[in-house]
Amino acid sequence: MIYIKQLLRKPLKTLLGILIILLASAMLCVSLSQYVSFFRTRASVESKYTTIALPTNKYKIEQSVDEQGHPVVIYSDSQPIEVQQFLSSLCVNLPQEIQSEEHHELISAFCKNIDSLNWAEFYNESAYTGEGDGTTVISENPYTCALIVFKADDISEPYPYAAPAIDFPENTASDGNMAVDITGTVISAYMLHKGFDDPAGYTIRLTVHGETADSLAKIGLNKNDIYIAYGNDYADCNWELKKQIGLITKGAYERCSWDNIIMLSQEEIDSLPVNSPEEMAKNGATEKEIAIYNDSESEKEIYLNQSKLDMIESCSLTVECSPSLMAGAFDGYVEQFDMTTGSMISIPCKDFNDMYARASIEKLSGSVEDFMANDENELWRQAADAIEINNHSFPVIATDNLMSVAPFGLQDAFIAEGRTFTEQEYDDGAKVCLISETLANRSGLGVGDEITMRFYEEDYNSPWNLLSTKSANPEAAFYSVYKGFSSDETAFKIIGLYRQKQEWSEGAYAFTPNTIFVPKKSAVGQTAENDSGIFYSLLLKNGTADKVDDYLAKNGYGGLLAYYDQGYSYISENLNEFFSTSVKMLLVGIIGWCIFLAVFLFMYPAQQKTEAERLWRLGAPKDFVSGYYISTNIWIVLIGIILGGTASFIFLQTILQNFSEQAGITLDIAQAPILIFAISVLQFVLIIGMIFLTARKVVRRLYNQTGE
Amino acid sequence: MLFPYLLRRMRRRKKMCIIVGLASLMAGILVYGFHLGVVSMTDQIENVLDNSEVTCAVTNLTGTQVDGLMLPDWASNLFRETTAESVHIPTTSFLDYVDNIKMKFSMEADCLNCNVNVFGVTSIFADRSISLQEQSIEWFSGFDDSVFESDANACIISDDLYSLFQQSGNSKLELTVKARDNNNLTSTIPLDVAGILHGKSASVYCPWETASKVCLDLNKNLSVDCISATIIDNRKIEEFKEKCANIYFAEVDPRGVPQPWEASPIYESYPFALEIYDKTMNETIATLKSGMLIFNICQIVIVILTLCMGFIVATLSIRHRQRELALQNVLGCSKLNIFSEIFTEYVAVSFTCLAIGVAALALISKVSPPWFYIAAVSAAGCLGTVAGALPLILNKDILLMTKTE
Repeated sequence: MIYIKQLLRKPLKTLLGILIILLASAMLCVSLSQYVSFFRTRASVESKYTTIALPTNKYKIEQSVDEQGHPVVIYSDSQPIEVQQFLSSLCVNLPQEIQSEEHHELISAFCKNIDSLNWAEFYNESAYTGEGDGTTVISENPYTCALIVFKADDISEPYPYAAPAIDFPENTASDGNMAVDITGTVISAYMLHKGFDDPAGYTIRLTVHGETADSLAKIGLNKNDIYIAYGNDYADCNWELKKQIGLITKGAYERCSWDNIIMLSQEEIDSLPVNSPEEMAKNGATEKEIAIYNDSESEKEIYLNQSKLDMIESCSLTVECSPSLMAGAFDGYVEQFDMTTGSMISIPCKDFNDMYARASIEKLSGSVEDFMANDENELWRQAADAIEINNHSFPVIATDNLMSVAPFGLQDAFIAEGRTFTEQEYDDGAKVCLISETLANRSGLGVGDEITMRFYEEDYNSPWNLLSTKSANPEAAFYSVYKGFSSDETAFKIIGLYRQKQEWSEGAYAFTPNTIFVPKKSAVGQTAENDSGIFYSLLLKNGTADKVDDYLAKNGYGGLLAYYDQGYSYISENLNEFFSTSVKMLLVGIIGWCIFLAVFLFMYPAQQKTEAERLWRLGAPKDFVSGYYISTNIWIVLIGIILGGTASFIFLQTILQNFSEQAGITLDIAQAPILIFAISVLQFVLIIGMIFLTARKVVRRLYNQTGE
Repeated sequence: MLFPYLLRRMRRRKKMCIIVGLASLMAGILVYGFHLGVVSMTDQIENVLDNSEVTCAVTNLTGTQVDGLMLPDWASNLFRETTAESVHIPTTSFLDYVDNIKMKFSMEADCLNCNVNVFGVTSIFADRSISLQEQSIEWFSGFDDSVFESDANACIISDDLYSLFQQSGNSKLELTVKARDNNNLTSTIPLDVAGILHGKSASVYCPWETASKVCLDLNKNLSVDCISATIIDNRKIEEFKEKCANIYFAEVDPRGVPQPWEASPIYESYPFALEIYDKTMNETIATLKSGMLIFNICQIVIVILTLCMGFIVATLSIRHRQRELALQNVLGCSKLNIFSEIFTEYVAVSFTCLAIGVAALALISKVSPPWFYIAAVSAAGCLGTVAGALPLILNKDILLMTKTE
């Protein structure tokens, strides 16, 4: 207290000291805060630009010569092994240039409050080229599950059938497998995806697969009876034919009308060159063309055979009565790959059929509702549930960096409303998601709304699963009742809506508007990935594309990567200039602080020699004299720094924030309070240190005189 | 006479003068420094406006389709040089606002006994499926991307066609194009093969001029798949929207509902939108502007700090010199004169130091000083001094002040 009293005895001097420290402190805090703010502004600008590198097809193409010596080009689905290894090693070899190797992962999710978009409804000619390969093609899966009620018009005799077995083709031909073809009239389609046209009245072509003729006979298939059938490969043949008509010429799909079909007379059929045996053999055709579709506007024609004509107003479905048959059972066992052990296991057919048992086909005597309510029809209720899940299932891309997903990096997709994920959300695995604008509109959702998601994994062992390794346009997997969900129902908040320049496309980097994006850590369950397309990219540090390209050329892989920097190269120089200005401002602040500090030291500790000498004469010990220096100044310094820090804090937090809000912008000054506190502590330590040094110097001089 | 007298008096109050001088010097340097920041930021914004590549594209109403739009050929004419014979001449030329036009149309043709798709493009980047895989084109010597900007009779062909072309032994690729509504009307174009296009089949890409001429001769019209362009001057985006885009195209609406705009001949039969992809540029500018705002606010803060400084210095100065001032008052010096003396001292020191700071930075930076803020700092200093010296003016008897103390 005595020191405070001493200070109050000279209020003018004390106030001046406080003022100097306050100004010094405020100057340093403000200049450092502006530097940090500047730094963060630059970081914020930089974060708006993402530089990605995508592997090109250059090394997927192999020039070769066929038997006749003609040049042949062979395309590979994936990059050669050595290229893959080289790409993987880039992150290690170019740590300064390559930020990360981004693998985006696929999982499926059931979202009951979103209506999925079906390709059959949103089809457009520009997306469908007919050239899309299996890795990029848009499909209607998994919205093709249906319960169809139909009247059987015609039933074929059972015939031997070879079940497809992807993994073990040698197991496929089993003499016991039988099939029956049924032609009928659709009475109603139960729970069919809304994207398909209502098939009521359509002709349905059903194929029923069974293990033996006896097992098929047990179903009791009779003409004119009404049946309910369940399958997961519903196809709207009417639409399929329209798609083929659409390939004739532009606009033919929209103009398509079955009135444009002209049936040919027998003479005309026989006189058609395409129907000549030679031409048919050359084209591998088994049926004669019997009709012509004429697009009146373009005057273009397309020949149609009976199979094509049968597609008009018709649909098809396959009914599988035996899961083990579908899985390619051999010798009473189904061979399956066990993901947990990484080895093959043999499952007896009976057990396998129990595991994957599902509804197939049954005679319907009453209404569908009564049928479903029957206690004995548990499998059918299960099928209905599975359809409901599949109809509301979506491909979910789990990512650690949305902007490195090729279409976002290429700016073919962009956030139209809301925002993208923050680093915090990626790190925490926050329950947030991005959906397409079209999907949001369809389901009446918007930014800020919540959707419930329940993840499920692809069941690789399911006989109903259609294995695919797609690099673009990924779709949700068929829900497996046996495997179930991999997570509980979880609410995800929609933080943004994305828009694609070309929403439906069969391009190498396309995804459908059904796709939902989530932070990688928020996805629960086994995910799938691919080494190309939308699943893989290299995230480069902005402005390093040239260096990476040089490195590739030096290693003989020139042209392996294509770079996209979203226009960063145009503004990179500006950003450097921008940053240098901030550094200059910081220097001015530091120099100002030094000057004020020098003035303070000159006016206060340096002027206390007389008091120190007086104390020395009175016999005070060294430490007491040094302590006197510190004690008399510490309050001035402390009050000055606190006031300076508070002034800076108020300035940055209140004034700056209010101004920025009025200007309609958001300033990133979240770190300012911590920064100001840190600066204040540092200043305090520094100034006290300097006072101590001054005191020590004086004390040493005084006490050296007396040899103490 | 007055100046040496003032100097003599000020010499006795060195500390006070040093504080005022340094504060003014710093205020000048800081205000100028922050002004430099503002100038620099403004330059950055201008640079971003100059250098950012903003594109626009004709899309469907929801903005989700840019290819396969089947636009009428006169829509493409909006983005091309018009002549007196042009079907439609826009009141304001689109070409005043956009360049680097990328357009594509397609037609069918027969070639090497195959039916092929012929694409007329103004740039290889008009076809997204090719440009996304830049390495998919193998150019022959003497040819590059620029071939599409010319009217050369040249083309790039898919590798299946190239195999057939090599087998044929021809030096030129002959395309036979049939009229859409009359199969008997044909036109043949001989083309040099400029390169091979990998990853496509039965496709021929020709310069727009070459292909469109044939198509127009045969069919009298074109059906354009896609149109996109680059904005020439990013400052004129709003003007472009107002004078060109809004007249012919709708704004993108996620619900697909055409937003009202002036009567458009395109809209009557072809409802399309024109989307301008300027979000990244706008976000960058907004970020820079927020940085600029900090500097502007810093300048205001310096003015406020100077005001406080002036007030504190004047208050302390008067309290410190109460006895001296009272004596002066007793000796017949009026309060106004005493105030003038203090004020002049302050102004002399602060203005001199402020001028030194400003002049130093002006010499270094060669940027015009922020006269407004310098004047504001000066005025704030003076105002602070006046406010601080108010007790002197208001007190009836300075001597009384001393007695009370």
